[in-house]
Amino acid sequence: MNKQSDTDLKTFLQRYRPTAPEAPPYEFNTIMAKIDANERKHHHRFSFWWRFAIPVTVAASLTLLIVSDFHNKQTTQVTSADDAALESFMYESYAVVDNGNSDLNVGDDWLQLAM
Amino acid sequence: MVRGVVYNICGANPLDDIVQDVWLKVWNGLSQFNGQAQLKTWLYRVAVNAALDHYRRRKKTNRETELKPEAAGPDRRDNDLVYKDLVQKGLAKLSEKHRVVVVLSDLEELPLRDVAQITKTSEGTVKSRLHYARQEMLKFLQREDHQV
Repeated sequence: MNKQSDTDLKTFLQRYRPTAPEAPPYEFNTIMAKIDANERKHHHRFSFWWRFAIPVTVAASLTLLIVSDFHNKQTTQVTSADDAALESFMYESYAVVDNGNSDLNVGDDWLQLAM
Repeated sequence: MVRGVVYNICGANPLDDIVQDVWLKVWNGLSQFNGQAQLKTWLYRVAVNAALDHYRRRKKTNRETELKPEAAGPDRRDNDLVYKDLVQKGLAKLSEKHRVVVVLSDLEELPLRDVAQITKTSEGTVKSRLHYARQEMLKFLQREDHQV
């Protein structure tokens, strides 16, 4: 196949190029209606998120935050009995160290270690 | 232009639907059009892809994959119409890839560079496909007793 036959074929194809049937007169309106419907669908999807999903998510997060905070406060509360037990433990421990009866034998080198 | 490309790639059957689909895709994709390609090239690509998508879908669902050109009616005595039919039949005989390059390069007269961009191939591939497609087209015309 040489260049001349290429050109001839191209000329032939262009000259007798099949022509598409005429567009129907309502085509433009149909396209615009499809675009409009598509836009509405997108808008609807978007507005669903803004109207329902996002507020619900925010409300759920806030509720979760409040509940967890309340739960935290509840668990960290110390009863008076615990308080008394802790106080007596500290008092007894301190008394043991203060009387020199502690099992700990730190010796005098604690000063050297500290320096 | 969109109508012509779609018609020459996948025939007349659901032409209006595909053309509408192309414009809908153009509308939706316009905001993502980055301007690197020419608007015209991009439009061609959308049209070609929509036509091929439809052609492939039809190929899956329908056993008759070959494009059926409109039959020449008794009023189609005019030579021009006979040759147009012949070209349409020739295009229908080509493979999908060959048909696309012939339509874009020979019928739409786009430069090879643009055809390569639209088909997302190299210019070399386009040249090669065009060469084989023209050979097939010539053989078809010869079989139909027509010399170009």
